[in-house]
Amino acid sequence: MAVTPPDSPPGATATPTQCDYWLVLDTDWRILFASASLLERLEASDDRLVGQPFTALLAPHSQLPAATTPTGADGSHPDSPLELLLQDSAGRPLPLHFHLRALQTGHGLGSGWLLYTEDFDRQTLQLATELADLQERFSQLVMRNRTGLLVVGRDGRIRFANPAARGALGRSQDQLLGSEFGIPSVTGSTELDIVRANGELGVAEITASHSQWQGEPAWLVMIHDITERKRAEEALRYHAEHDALSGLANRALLLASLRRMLAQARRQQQPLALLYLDLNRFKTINDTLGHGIGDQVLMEAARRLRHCTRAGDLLARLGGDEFCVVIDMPHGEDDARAVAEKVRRAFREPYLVEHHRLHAEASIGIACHPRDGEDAEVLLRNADAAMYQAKREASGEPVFYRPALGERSHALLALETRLRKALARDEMRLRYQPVVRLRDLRLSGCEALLRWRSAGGRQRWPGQFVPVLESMGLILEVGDWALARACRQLAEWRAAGVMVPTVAVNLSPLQLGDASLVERVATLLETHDLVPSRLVLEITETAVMRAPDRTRMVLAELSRLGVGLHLDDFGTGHSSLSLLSRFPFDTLKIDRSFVRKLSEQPRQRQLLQAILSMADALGMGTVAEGVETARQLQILRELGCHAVQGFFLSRPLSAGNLARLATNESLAWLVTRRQRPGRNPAAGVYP
Amino acid sequence: MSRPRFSLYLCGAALPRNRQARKRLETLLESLYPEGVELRVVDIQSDPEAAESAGILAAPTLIRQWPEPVLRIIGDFSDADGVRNLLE
Repeated sequence: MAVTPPDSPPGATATPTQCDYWLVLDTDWRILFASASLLERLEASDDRLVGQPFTALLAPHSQLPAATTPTGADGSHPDSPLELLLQDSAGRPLPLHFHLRALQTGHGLGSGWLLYTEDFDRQTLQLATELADLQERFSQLVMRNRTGLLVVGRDGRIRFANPAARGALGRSQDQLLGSEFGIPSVTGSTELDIVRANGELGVAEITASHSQWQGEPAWLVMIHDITERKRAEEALRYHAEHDALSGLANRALLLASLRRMLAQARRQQQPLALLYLDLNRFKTINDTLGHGIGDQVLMEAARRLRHCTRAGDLLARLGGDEFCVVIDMPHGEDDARAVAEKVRRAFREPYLVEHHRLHAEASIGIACHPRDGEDAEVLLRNADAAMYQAKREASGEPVFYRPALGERSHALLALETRLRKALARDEMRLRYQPVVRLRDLRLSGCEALLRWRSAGGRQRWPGQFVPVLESMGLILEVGDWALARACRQLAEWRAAGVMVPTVAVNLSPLQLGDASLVERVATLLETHDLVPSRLVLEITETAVMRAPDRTRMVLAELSRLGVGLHLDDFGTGHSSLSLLSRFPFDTLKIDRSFVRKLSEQPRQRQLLQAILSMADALGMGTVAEGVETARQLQILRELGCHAVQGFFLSRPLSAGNLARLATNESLAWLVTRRQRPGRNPAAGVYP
Repeated sequence: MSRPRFSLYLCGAALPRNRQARKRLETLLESLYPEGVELRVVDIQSDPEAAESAGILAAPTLIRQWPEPVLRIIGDFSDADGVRNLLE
């Protein structure tokens, strides 16, 4: 210890008496210790005095002599005599003759003052200086500790607070001392919320232990401010449970929250509904305009979803363009229907992103608890099944789950699963089948046909998977993709200096029913700077008849754009010739089934003759599909059919092979080479 | 005779740890006062002024307004015996 006791004790000659009053003060003249004798004399209690300024002990109008005002720790007032008038707790004056001595500890961190009366002995002085040093060490330990320390009395009031505790509680020493903290009731380390004076909230870990403070039972409360750590943890958890793009819950949080909501719903017998949403043809937006635009659409979709729902509803993005809403239904399924309708209307509005007007309507499936599933996974799966049914129906109406939706064959499910991934995995291709004009045997155009080579390596024909695509509603996305791909191909051929007069692309009934089709086509033409008539859209009779009035409107708009319109598969459906005049088709495509029967049945020839004459009269072109033999070709030429396509001339070709074919002035060689005997008519040989 | 009056101050009444603390307290109060108590729950997040005027430093804080003496207990009430001793 570096405290230096005085060489000769002051008042050593006096015998130690009960009057050995003494006090230890800090540099600010606050009381650190008072001797028991002085406390007794003043009828004051320790905890009332400690921390108080020394002047509080002085009688009114009594002052410290100027010379005793603190000047620092340099011992400039060694053992100065001091006449002071104190008062006891009852206000009775007590004149005392003190000596003042500066106390200097070895730490250089602070010092204090010792006030003692005449009768103070050397031994007591030694004790006092040691206590002062100990106090300082303790003070340093406590005051500089980063853990907040509170001493709370039995009455719940704060007796002591170190700076860290003041910081954690956001209050000053004056605000804390004597204020009510409360009697701690915690076991071990407990997280409590902290209410700071400025209204800020924090979190602290608190431990409380029984202790003593100045002879009284008290609690020592340790406060560890973990506000920052909690915030960081929360941010991490948020990150783990939310979709960064939309700010909505992710699948993990959805399932966890849904489980909790289901448990509560069971207790309260309150039905819940899970709405499963998918943006129609979002993939097309991503693929054609890039992920940046796609992301903005998703963010806007999330915003709309928030707008359509109440604050208590659970919203989640399951990845991609799939969203989920969980609502409770105090009024039964009408509640779910109302929310779904609201969402549907909100999603029907076009998305305006960087000068693009984009359409991504929602298909909505709904599963209700408890009817459609007791647990979260089943409910989610059934809502998903209902959503796919909504996509299939393509009416835009939300679909409620029903058990039949879950009973599709395993094989179909497997095919659907692979198909769903086909576009993402770039497994779809277009092949181009040449259409040859019979008048001069030149290339009049080509038809783009879809091919799918799945992961297994097997190539599939449209007949094998297009119906499934249609039943899944996926045909919209695939159809969009094909349309965009064909337009890009036209531009690529043009850039390569190859003249391909037209590319015909098949439109599904679902695409025809899509409000944004015309805009989509216009955008593609513009994007690739195409002459509109180079693009031909093929629509089947069946598709036309599904919604004739609507189709007529759409076709009129497409026709105004200048794109070609072919009536596809003519002869398979209604075959209503009167239909032809009411729709702006420029070309009639005669179905292969018609062509196949040509050589066998004379009646077919007459019928075809009538059709071709009618088409001529309406100013329409004619293309016969599925021409497989020289005989068929011969008859078609005689009947005056304008153009043909089929295996007899060429299989569907890759873009490169079609380009090579297109560089031929005349395709007469396609016909002549096939007339050599012994050749398999289905096998193709290409330049 | 009126029933014992309590106020419970919480920060985020819906948080699981606060719901637990409240449940523990209610169980405790039920066993102590079979005739029932008046328990007012104040969420500091939605009513910061109430917390300020009551001089709440940390939450949960329970104040017993009646019967006297007025008592203030802070913590999650996991020390059931301690709380029981204080309230009895």
